Parts: sequence; C-alpha cells; structure tokens
Amino acid sequence: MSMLLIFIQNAIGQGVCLLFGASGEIMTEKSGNLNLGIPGIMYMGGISGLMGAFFYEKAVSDPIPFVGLVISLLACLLVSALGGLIYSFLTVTLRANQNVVGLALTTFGMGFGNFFGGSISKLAGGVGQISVATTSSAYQAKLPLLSDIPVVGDVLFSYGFMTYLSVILAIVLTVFLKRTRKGLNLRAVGESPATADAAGINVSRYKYVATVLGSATAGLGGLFIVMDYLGGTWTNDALGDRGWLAIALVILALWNPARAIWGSFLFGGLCILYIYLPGLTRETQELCKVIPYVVTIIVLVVTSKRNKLESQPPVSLGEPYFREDR
Amino acid sequence: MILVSFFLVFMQQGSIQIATQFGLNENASNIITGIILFFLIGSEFFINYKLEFRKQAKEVQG
Repeated sequence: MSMLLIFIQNAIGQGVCLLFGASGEIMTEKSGNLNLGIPGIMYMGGISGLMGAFFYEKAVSDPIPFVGLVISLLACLLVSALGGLIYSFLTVTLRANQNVVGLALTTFGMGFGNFFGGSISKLAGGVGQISVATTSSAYQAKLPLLSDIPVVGDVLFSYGFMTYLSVILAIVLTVFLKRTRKGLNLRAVGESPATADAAGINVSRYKYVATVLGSATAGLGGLFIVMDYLGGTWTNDALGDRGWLAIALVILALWNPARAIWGSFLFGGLCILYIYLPGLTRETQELCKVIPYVVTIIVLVVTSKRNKLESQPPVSLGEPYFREDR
Repeated sequence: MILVSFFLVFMQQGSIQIATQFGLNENASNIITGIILFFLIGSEFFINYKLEFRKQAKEVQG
C-alpha cells in the first residue's frame, strides 16, 4: 500500500513537468507553429530561474523564501518567453522552416542550460555546488492542514504549489480554447490562416502571442524540475528527455489540454514504472522504459483509424503563412 | 558538408579545452552552434524573398 502511495506521488511529480510542457506546446500548435524547441526552452527556463534565485540568495544575507520564489518565477518566465520570441521571429516574420528552427532552439537551450548550470558557481567566485535551499523550500511547501490527512492527503495534497498551478493552467487553457472568442480565433489561425486573415484576424499577432506564452508555460516545467523535484540544485542534463516526452504527450492528448492532465500523470507513471516493478533484470528494465512511447504510437494508430475531426492536428501545423504567397 | 561537420567538431573540442582550462562546463559549443544556426536560418529569408521598400505615395490633388 505504501509502495503504491509512493508510486502515485512520484508519478505525479514526474507528470507535472510534462503537463507544463504539453500545455505550452498545445497552445503553440493551435496557432499552427510546431515548436520542437520545447526541450531547450525547458532548460532555459529551469536554469534562469535557478540563476535568479541563486544571485538573490547570494546578494542578501538573510533571504526571504517568498521573494526568491517571485524572482525565480519572473526570471524563468522572461527567459523562456525570450526563447519563444526567437522562435516566432524566425518562423513567423522570416518564415523559416519550423522543424529546423525548433531543433536549433533545442541545441541552443540545452547548451545554455548546461553551460550556465555547470559554470555558474565558478563564474560567481567558486562556491562549489550551487544550492538555493531557501527558495526551493518555498516551492516545496505543502498545504499545511490538508497534507496531514493520512491517505488522501498523501495522494492529493502533498505537493508544492506548482503541481496545482499546472493543473489549473491546463483547465484554464481548455476553457480558453473552447469557450472564448479569442480561443476560437486562435484555433482558426491554426486551421486555416488564410481564412482567418480574410475574417480580419491578425494572424501574425496571434502566432506570436500564442508561441511566446506557450514557451513561457513550457519553461515553468523546467523550473518545476529544478526547484521542486531536484530541490534547488543543478545536475548536468537535469531534465533528460522530458521535453520530447512533452511533445509526444501533445499527440497522446490529441491537442486537448484537459486530456493532457491525466495523460501526463499516466506518462509520468509509465516512465518510472520500471523502478517499482519487482523482479526486473537490466534488460527488461530497458524494455519497460519503452512503454510510454509504445502507448503514443498506439494512440496515433487508433486516432488515425477513427478519423474523428476533433482529434486531428491543426491543419496548417508546421506551415508558414505568407499573405502574398498565394 | 565535410567542412561543416569538421568545423562543428573543432568547436566542440575547443570548448572542452576551455572547460578544462577554466573549470567551466563543456557545453559552450552548443550555445555557439545554436546561435550560428539561428543566423543561418534567419538569413535564408533573404534568399527566398526580396525586400522592396516603398515610399509613401503622395495623393495627387486634382
């Protein structure tokens, strides 16, 4: 029983990062931009949040957790939005190939994260391992009373605030896309930019805003891993391949943020299943790590067979739009 | 192609050298590669399209 509890807790902890990434990517893809730079943006968000908190804690002799939290959150949002801005400038304004720009952004972001993560202590004057325990304690703070309830509290209320933020964000995004005029416009831009343009929607502005906000959301996933999951330290390649998993999750969730909520926790569970399954040898462990991707492939096959209109990718996904190119 | 791949590996080895010498991380080459790629991709725009600046046409009074 307690094993199962720990498994669920860890699965949700793994899933939060994926949920942030998937929500951001869904928002971006709904505007017709296929942002493959999500892994890089997660690195950029994570390391910039860590740097913000690190310099704050270094400058002040008695750091307040809440101020460190705000600073790291702002730094993370700013830098990851900047990553999205680079992407959207190249793809929307300069109409470059979206896949290539995304991969370049991933290379850049991973280098950015690992370089500053590995060098920041040296650059700041050799303090050894960077650790922002004060700020990360604010990220890891649990709900005071509710987390004391025996089983329910452990499963539902024993997480830092970013876990709840990710779920709320996904729900808000669903409502925004399905129920508001702006969301309808955004979907129109993704489906058929020429039609949207003819209807008087500013296509470039929608693409810019959706990509930048989506990147900022994805950056929060990196911040979560660094601050909450790793407890305010940096290890090389800290985020692993979570960015790619987030992009796979978008397909699994069929471009619907509400489905991404349970999808991300399912994915998180499948990713760490190999630790909890008893009696696995090294070879079967590696086989178990394949499961999330196999599930994605199965979902792809099933949805393409069912051919439902609602569960298709945006029609103009990956294509640049140029008004005079007709 | 060979030249470019050689250049990229050259840069990676260089950044590893920098890393050992100054105690930094060896991923600096990735940052530079990324920036170079950004500029390469960005300049493709000027291959595909030609910029023409139009002067604001004055309305003819008549």
